[in-house]
Amino acid sequence: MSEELWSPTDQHPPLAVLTLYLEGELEGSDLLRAKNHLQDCWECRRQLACLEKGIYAFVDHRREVLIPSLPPFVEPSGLLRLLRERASRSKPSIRQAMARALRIFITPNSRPAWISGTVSVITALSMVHFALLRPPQMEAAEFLRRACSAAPALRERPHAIFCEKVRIRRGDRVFERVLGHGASFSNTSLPDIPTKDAMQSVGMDWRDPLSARRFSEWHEEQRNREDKIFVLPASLTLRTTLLGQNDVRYASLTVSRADWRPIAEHVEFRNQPALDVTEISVELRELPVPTKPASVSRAVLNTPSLQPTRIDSPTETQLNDAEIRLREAYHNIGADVREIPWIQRKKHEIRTEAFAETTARQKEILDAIKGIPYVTPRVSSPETTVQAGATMPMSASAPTDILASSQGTHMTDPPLAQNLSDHLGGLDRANQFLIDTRNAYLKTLVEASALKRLADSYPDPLWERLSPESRMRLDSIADDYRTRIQANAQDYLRLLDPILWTMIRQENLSVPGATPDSHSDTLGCTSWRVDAGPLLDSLQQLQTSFRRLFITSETDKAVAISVEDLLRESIDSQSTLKQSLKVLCRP
Amino acid sequence: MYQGHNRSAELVVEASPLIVPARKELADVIERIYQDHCRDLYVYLLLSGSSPTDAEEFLQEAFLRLLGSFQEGKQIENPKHWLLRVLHNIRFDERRRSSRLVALDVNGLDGFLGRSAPLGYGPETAVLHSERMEQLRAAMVQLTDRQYQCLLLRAEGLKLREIAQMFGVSTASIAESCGRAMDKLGKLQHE
Repeated sequence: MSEELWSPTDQHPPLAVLTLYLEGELEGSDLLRAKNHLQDCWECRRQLACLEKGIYAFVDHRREVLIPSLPPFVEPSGLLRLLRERASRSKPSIRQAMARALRIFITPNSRPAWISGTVSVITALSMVHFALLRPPQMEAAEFLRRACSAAPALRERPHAIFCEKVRIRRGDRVFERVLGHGASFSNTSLPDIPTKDAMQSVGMDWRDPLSARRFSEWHEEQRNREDKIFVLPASLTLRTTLLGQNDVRYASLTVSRADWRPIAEHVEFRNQPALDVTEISVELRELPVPTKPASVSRAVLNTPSLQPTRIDSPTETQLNDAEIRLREAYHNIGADVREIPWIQRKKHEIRTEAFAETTARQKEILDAIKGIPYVTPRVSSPETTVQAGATMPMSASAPTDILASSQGTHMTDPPLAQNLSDHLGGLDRANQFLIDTRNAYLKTLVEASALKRLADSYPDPLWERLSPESRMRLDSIADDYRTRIQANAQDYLRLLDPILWTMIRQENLSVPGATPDSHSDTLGCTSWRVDAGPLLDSLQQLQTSFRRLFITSETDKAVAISVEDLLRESIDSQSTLKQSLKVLCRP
Repeated sequence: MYQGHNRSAELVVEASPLIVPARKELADVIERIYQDHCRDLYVYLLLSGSSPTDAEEFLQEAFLRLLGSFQEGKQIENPKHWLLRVLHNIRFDERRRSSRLVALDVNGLDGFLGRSAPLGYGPETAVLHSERMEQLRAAMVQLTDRQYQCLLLRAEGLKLREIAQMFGVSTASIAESCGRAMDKLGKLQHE
């Protein structure tokens, strides 16, 4: 970098230098100086950390707000077709160049030196061109050798399930095939007869349509062929064009550059629609080491991948156990209240998705749930999302009513804002009180929502089927939530109660039967699964009505509630909340 | 590197970013580039302030220029970055031609931010999310157009010096713009 970024007289690096350092674009003496300086200067390290956080904030914002708010992507109509057409046309620039060259040659006053010079250049270029254009037979063999050796290593990995979903397209007919090793898969649609015939004509096996070995065998059979290899950032393609009159014009095999796994195959016929096989998804899931005798395991695991092996489907008890293990693992690292992973029970597996804020957290989550059987995890982080263009988990199912509900069009009038300010001795103190209340509320809400989610996940019929041990483990998680809810809720109520009762007194509101500590002590205990819902509802209701006394809020419909109604609503919710807390006993 | 001359396949395999778009295969190459990057570029254009119709038009123009460059045998190291540079220029030309404000539209951004959905998570996340996004909204609207554009391009993977070339300014100037934007947003995280 030629420009001077950091003047020798400046003690601290300017912002531009720190930014370039953070982005890995600082070079030369500035880089060395910045490194040395950062070792010594905590202020600059703090600034550097601040910049890094700014990147995270922007990435979050872009991913979570900006991109989901965009209209759906619609492919520019006909652009791809236009590009293909133009690409396959002859190049106008070459035509023009040839015409110009011809004009030079036929011009009467063109000098012989021009002609001899041009001929020499063309000859030299042709020699270079043909020298570099040798047939790449060896390279094709190497390509196929690598592809053939990579596939079994990936597919037949011990203690893992390999599942691959491929799409077969011929003309306007599309079929899907799920194949795997280590488990049975049934989600398959059978092809029609013409498609089967087309596949057979190139030796393609319906049971394993994306096979490098099979492509290699077909390739070997073709005596009169021309091979070309294309390299793209993420894939390599070998295209074999058949010379002479054949039904097949050409066939290509594309492999992933990362692991040489076949990901696509294309066959272009002369007299029928093209056949296209594409990998839609692939998944490799580690399994716990089986307890069967080693000889049996080896026999199962060495079964050729073309014959998907069947292992026993997990029983309901096994899935229950796995799901509880998953919940415990999330709970132990706090993911159940921070990332709030999505857990869905399927027939033979448990799917879970989470979105971690950082790669380190992503790793922590993956480590925590590693080894839990039957679980198919998908844990993303901003880095992986940006790189892979992935979406937030469940973003596709973001309910539109939530989108709409956040756009309030009516404002509520806070009737007691001035009273609060007067009572607490100023606007700043009133604001601080409201911030403290909100923070205490949010801490309680996080745990109360987690308890409610857990309760919703185990409705009565499912709960009844759980073993006593499983129930005890879930009770233990619930008890952690309970302990924290009760501690946080007490903090919240300690803040809120005095102000609420002061306002009631100021408004001369009579609330029959309600006093600051009037809740009954004679209530019994209720199951956390029953109490979780009322507790969450009353908590949210209390905060909503209490805040509306002092803060303007947006609503999606006109709300005209008097100060008396708001106070009564607050008192009612507060009373219900206290009762819910009282009956929420240790399981 | 995408280039318009034929090379040996062995060299192609060993030197990783090389490809051989001979004329016959050019259609395949351009199709792959299109499929790999079209969506990202569309998103970039919309986030930059282009309307969907304009974005479609700009994309068509950019891809046709890419094709033209290949046909002329030009070497292109990173097609996505090349396309981003072209799109930036097209937008700039279009802005000059029509005198329209293609820059960050604060009202439009408010529209985006108003719909800060909790993405299917629980109510507490919705609350926390909306509060955090509200803070971010306040910071985002304070960014200048250049700061915002720098962040968008950086998020697409361009280096600061590449962004500087696009804007025709020094790397230090872009680093300063980017740094100020990151600092504004980063301070939110500290608070």
